[in-house]
Amino acid sequence: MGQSMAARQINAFYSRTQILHDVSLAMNANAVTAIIGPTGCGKSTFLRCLNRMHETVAGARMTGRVVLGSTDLYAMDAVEVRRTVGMVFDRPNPFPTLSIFDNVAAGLRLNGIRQKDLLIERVQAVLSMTALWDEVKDRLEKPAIHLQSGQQQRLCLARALALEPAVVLLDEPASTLDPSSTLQLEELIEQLKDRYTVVLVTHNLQQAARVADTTAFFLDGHLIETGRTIDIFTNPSDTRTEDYITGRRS
Amino acid sequence: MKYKGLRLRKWKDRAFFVLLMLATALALFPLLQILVEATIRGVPGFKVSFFTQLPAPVGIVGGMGNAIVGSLLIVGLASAIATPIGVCTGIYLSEYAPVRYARVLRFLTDIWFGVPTILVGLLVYGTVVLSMKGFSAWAGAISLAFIMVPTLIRTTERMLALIPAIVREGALALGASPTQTVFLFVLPAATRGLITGVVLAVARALGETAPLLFTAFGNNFWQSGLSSPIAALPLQIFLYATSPYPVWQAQAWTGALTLLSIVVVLHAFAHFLTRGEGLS
Ligand SMILES: Nc1ncnc2c1ncn2[C@@H]1O[C@H](COP(=O)(O)OP(=O)(O)OP(=O)(O)O)[C@@H](O)[C@H]1O
Ligand SMILES: [Mg+2]
Repeated sequence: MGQSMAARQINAFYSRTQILHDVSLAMNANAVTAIIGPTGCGKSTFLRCLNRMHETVAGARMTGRVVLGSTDLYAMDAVEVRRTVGMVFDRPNPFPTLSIFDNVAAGLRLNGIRQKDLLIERVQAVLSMTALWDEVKDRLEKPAIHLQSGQQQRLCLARALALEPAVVLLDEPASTLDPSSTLQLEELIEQLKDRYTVVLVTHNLQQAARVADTTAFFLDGHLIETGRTIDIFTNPSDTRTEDYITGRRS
Repeated sequence: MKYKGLRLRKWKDRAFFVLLMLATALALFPLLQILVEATIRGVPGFKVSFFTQLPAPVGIVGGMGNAIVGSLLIVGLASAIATPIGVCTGIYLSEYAPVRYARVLRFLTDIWFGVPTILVGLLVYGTVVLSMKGFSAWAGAISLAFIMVPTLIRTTERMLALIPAIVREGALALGASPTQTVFLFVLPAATRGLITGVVLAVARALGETAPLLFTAFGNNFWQSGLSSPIAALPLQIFLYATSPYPVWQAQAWTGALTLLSIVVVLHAFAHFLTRGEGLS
């Protein structure tokens, strides 16, 4: 089951440049929250604050809190946080030297799971969940980089799901995919919310409209507006949101 | 509309192209000459005895067997010393060092890389040779290791930099610790590149002569231990090439061709390892 997540007053910096300004956002359990906004407005930075990836960049720092259920993620061990909050990146990044199987099992092995049957069971389960099992079951030992990019991205999703996270962060997961792979991925995202809390960064407004329950609009590191997706797209309360959605330049 | 000066621009373009080609030809010519010369002069001496016999006075059939073994021994020893140091420093530089340290370290490595090899020999002479009270295989190996380390640091860092950042991010996002990320995900992806780096460093060390002059010194007999002076191919070549005897001079060419062949094979191997990856 997913757990609700809340970001409270996040300020994020790269060296001395402030990227996010006092962003607070609630992300509901078992729902898809979409984050939209122009390039460079801080969407990825925000997402990376949620699983403490932000602090892995040299010179990056942040203030504020992220709460999952009732746990303060910034009071936890960062490594532990990343096992609870999974992430898929904008470009498929399977581990280049590992097979399909080993890619999916990587996170499990990092967690000390060694029993072969348990690994096989979990790998099969998440590959089925990401609609990959039938496509790859005969070549699990082949290098993952030989898959098509759509398959690679679903593999990366499976890899994240294998750890049974509570939250799945998706940073423009379809940005390098062709339309049919994109559609397939969107269907998967719809299904994900049965089990997880999903946060989706996207440039594609139609995509947000199709899959998200809640949408948040970012501009220049500020959260401008958040609400039910249908409201944001049909009746935004801020003119800057309206300008962005209708494609008007401010 | 007529473009003014178009003809002139085209002409300049062509002239520049010819100039570049000329410079390239000028650069390649000496290399070609070395290859041809070494082959023509060296091949006649390729006999079994050359590889199995000790150096002998003029008139007696001799070879460079001990020098070949000596070179392999010194370079092997040097690699065993330099590889862990160079590769680990390269890993630290690429994966761990804070930006400011990295910049300083990189600068130092560049200086180290530029230290004249004769100076390296002097340094090792002043420390190792004097304190061990004699020339030795150890001294030779240490001076070669000193020359290999900066090469290894540079190539290791470069090879690791070629592993995309998204591989590291992927591992970190799965809950790998920074050290797990480096050792379980980044290094395995860079293995072939790292081996290439070691091979290239070995190739460079094999041809070094200056630092061996007053460390390994040379030896006319088979090696009996690491603490005595040791023969090396470049030293033997130097000795024979500068001798007044045509027989020795011919052997120097054969020795040079042997050395050249080993280096070419090593480079070909390195190239083969990283083919299609844009690594070397
Ligand atoms: N590692 C970094 N170091 C310094 N500045 C960075 C770094 N990463 C991002 N930035 C800057 O932070 C700002 C926000 O970047 P971020 O990647 O969060 O934007 P984004 O909304 O995800 O953009 P996009 O839609 O292009 O992915 C940008 O101005 C960017 O240049
Ligand atoms: Mg982004």
